[in-house]
Amino acid sequence: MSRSVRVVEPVSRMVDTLPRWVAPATVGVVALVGTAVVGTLDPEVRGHLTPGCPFRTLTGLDCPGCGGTRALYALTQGDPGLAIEHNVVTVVALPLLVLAWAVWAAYRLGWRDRPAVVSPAVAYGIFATLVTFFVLRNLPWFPFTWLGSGAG
Amino acid sequence: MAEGQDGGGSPAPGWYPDPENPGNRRWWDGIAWSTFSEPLGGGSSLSPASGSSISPGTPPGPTGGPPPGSFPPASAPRPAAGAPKIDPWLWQSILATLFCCLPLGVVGIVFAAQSQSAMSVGSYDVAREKARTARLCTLWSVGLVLGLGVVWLLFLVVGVASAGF
Repeated sequence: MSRSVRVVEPVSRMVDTLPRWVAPATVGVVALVGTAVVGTLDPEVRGHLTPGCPFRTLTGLDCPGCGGTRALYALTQGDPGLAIEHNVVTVVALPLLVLAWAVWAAYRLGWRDRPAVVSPAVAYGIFATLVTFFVLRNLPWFPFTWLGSGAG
Repeated sequence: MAEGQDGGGSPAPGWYPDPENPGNRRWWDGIAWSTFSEPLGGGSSLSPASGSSISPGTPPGPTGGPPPGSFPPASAPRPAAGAPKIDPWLWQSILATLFCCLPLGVVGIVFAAQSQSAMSVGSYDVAREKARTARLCTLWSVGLVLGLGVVWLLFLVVGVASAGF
């Protein structure tokens, strides 16, 4: 724990010395470029170039994010139905994450007084949702198979 | 984690003179300096005998912090106007859970939720500590996946290169 802190702290202190817009801008640019790259490569082709989910490789189980990249590709192709089949939680979470990023960027730029904070009930609800999704999508019976990532 | 404040390793969390900016005081979270720094003075009395400093007349801002060496103000809920700004790292943890494929992100969400719970009851020191752990989980999860990606890229390049010969 404290050793991990020693690795992370110098990094975050370096980030603290940069102008405050750099962090949200970096996250935004990386997200946009990532979406553009994912959107131009068919998963059939991309699957041979990019590593699979490390958790799935090790355990053979779907992690909460499995199918997320294919869902993103389906969304860029205007096929929300297919996207939901790959990873429904990612599809629901994406707009919320974009909103959270916007709130965070506004805070970092000084347009907003405080960071994004939700009520503890909502935070624990998100946790419970993800864990439930994690368990259910790995069950081998219909209708839970629908929650799986659909990877071979 | 937060219980280790009296462990004696490093000073207890609190407001101390800012080493980089004399004339300011800066929040020490028990392990490292935070980014929260504010001018000394400004009407806030930093008298040594500030045991009962949280009074209705206290000016806004997390005042009432002890001089170095005195007891930390750990559990005294401060007025909302002076509540320190803590980013609980919730959405960042969710992002890591969904896109870094490691269960570490889920752990980050738990700590982010605990941080928000602590904030809602005014335990800002606990909230800060939990948020730091959430950040740790998120950044490690991002770092590990980036590391794996680099290793993968190396293998790919080596594979393509050796296939060419």
